[in-house]
Amino acid sequence: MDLPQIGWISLNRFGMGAAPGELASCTDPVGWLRSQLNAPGPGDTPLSGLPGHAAIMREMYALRAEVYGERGGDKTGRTEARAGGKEAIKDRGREIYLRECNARMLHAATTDRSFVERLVRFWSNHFTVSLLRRQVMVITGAFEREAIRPFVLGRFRDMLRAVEQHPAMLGYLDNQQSTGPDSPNAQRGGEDASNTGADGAPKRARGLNENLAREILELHTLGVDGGYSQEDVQQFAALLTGWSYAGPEAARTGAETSGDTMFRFYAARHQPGPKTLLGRTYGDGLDEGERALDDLARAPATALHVARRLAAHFISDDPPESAVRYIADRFLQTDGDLREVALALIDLPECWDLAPPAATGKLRQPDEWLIACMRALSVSAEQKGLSALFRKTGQPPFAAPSPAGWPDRATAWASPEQLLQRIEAATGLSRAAPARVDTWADAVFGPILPARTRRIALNAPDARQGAALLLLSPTMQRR
Amino acid sequence: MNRRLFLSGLGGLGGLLGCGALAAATLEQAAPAGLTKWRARPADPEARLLVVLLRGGLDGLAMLPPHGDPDYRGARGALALDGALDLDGFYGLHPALAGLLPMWERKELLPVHAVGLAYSGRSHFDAQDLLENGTAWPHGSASGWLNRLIGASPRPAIAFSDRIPLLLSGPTPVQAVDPGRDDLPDNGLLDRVAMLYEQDELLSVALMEARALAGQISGAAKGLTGEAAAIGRLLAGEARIGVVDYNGWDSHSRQGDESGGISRPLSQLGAGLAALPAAMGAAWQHTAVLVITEFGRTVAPNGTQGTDHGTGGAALLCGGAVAGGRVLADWPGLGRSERFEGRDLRTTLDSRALIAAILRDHLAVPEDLLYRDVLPGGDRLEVPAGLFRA
Repeated sequence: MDLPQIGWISLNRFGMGAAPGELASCTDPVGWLRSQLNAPGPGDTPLSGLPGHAAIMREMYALRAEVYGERGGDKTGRTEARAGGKEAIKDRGREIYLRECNARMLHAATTDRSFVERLVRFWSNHFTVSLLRRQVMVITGAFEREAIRPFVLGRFRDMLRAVEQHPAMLGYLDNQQSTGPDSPNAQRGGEDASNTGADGAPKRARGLNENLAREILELHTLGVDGGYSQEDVQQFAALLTGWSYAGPEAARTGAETSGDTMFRFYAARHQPGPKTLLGRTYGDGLDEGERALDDLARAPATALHVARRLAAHFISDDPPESAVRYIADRFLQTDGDLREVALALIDLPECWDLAPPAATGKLRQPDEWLIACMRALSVSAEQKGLSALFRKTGQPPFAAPSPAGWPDRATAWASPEQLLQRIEAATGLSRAAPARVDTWADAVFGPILPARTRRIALNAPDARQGAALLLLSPTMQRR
Repeated sequence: MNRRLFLSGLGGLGGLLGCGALAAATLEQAAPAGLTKWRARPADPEARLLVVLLRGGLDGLAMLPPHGDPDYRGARGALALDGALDLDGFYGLHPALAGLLPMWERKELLPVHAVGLAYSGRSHFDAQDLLENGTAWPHGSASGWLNRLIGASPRPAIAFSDRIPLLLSGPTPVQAVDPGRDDLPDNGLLDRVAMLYEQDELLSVALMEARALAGQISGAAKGLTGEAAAIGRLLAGEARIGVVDYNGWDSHSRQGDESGGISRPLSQLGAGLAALPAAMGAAWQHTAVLVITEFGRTVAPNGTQGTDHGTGGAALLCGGAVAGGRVLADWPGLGRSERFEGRDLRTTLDSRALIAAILRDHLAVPEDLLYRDVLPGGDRLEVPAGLFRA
């Protein structure tokens, strides 16, 4: 394989796409990838300065209190003002979400550590939170910034803990009110200040909810064939009772002591007594739930599950078992050091296989295709309709259809309808292309572009259509 | 068979759906040896099947409340319905499904209760996979049972979504179209894109299918309700098999609430189904619609006024070809000892048996092939009879 091919794979399979001139200047592709994993965290990015989940939740709580009144206040007599207030809450929520989407999009389109960005998106999808659960929409972006980004080159177990204690995940998978049936709270049948609904009203709901426990085992750690039973799910759910986040009142009173997180462990909801998960016995309290998570993070089944997903993302829809094992081994040998796992990907010959025809490479998902287009077009600021393209092409940020995240197989993204959406998106994006399509094509693709593709694009009736064709070409659709 | 060959044979004639005879002929040449026996056209060449996949685990006890069961109120607690629409004194319909009552009156609606997969893992992803792959195990096949059906017995099939669900995925080509879309991009551009994709089978096939299909769709509103008319029109034409994907039934919290509960999706489902007979015209008489989900939910409410993943649930079968006006169920009861593992409605009818009945009696699939290729091992199922009009 020659240098441009190695560079192209570095920039596209590992990275998020090539900007004009980047391929030519990529003289040490593997060094470029490795240096990203060693460099200190990025300085100022479009994501800098965005508020954390605690600030966002406090703002939304305050807004709700304005509309609905303080807790215990008059709940009857819905006035027009209140209806208008509900709209204002919705609008503010959408505003916060779009702010996150734009910043995330621009960061991915401009970062010079795009391998790290791909890892962020991989892990963010592995630990999916989705706005399909409306209540967490405003903090989905904060979730990625707080529970994923800081750990993509750190320990899996630290990421796992940050994820499962983030209010976005606790809310998305219904753990925030899960209550042990024998807990003091359930026994009292009473209320506590933390247990309030969206409108601040107290809820009487009490009981075990096993959703989070199940998805941690099935999706986040062991995998569905990881050897756990329904009994394990219930025991683990009991271990996680009390893992919650602060409601409006607790958010006010606990602000000084809890730092910048709304995560709360409510001992009064915690199921007392020993719990057995996968043959190990755990006791009561937050520590024991954390210990169970640490044990899951170390389980060989977890290494295999994570490795299989990584291999499918970087190699092919059906990666060779040897590659999966290689990644899993590195994961286990290094106690889940994700920097080492990323280095293992670079070591794998299968990740560098660009066997002709190029059609065997991974089909880009809509999100990564749009980012690659933005990088090729050097789009560095939000333009009208740009972020809407993510929705139209089928992959709006933080909106995966299920806790399993977005599918990572080509067949899931190649329906006629999806292709038409890409064609329409490319037509729109081509407005940002330079007038000289030939020099632009050479600057982005260099010798990688098949002569036939170049000819078809340059024979288009106008430069704009030529640019659209290049964005739609298999060279851009595949990585 | 070779998907690319199949499509290039059709593409030139403009419109995949108008080429049923040619599709059959192409298959004749390309089908693997094991399928040669199964060449019979369906007994009713007009027979149509629409499968509506409710993803997330529909609460069957909410859709079809057994309000005549003495244990109903006690078992369901706050989730017991007051305004259920009575069907036969024992079963009722959720009030949001009022739109289905005329169909019930015409005996075109056959609700099915205590139905579920032979699977108790309670995982959405495994259960959906199992429901769609048609074997006895999650991930037991990489193709869907409907794809294997049309592979052996060619019928034009469409996924009414932007993605092809596993149920319709596999070696035999199918189309997918969003019933909400209208215009196609410029033809000159599409011709050039087609040239770009000549060496890329996946993309070239998608493009050919897109051009063939999109012309036949005119604009419709989002959601099953608004799209039902477009779906009905396509199904009343050349298509014989359709799949609608409907997300959002995973009601872990506050499922009884007016907003955010399951009333809204249920009323959309009801209105969508109710719009089909008019949209399909005479073809409705040849149609069966199966509304099915991966599992039911717990009998008792959970701690958050919702329900958790369960096993047994409910399904709907409707259409002009269906012998309805009754509820199909071998009722297991709701008492704690009658439940599965003390928590779920017990399954007394295997979802695969229900599917087998539809394929055997409505689409006239010969049993040997049905239980070998489409639902492997299904000959051990107790398949209900008499679900369709003679």
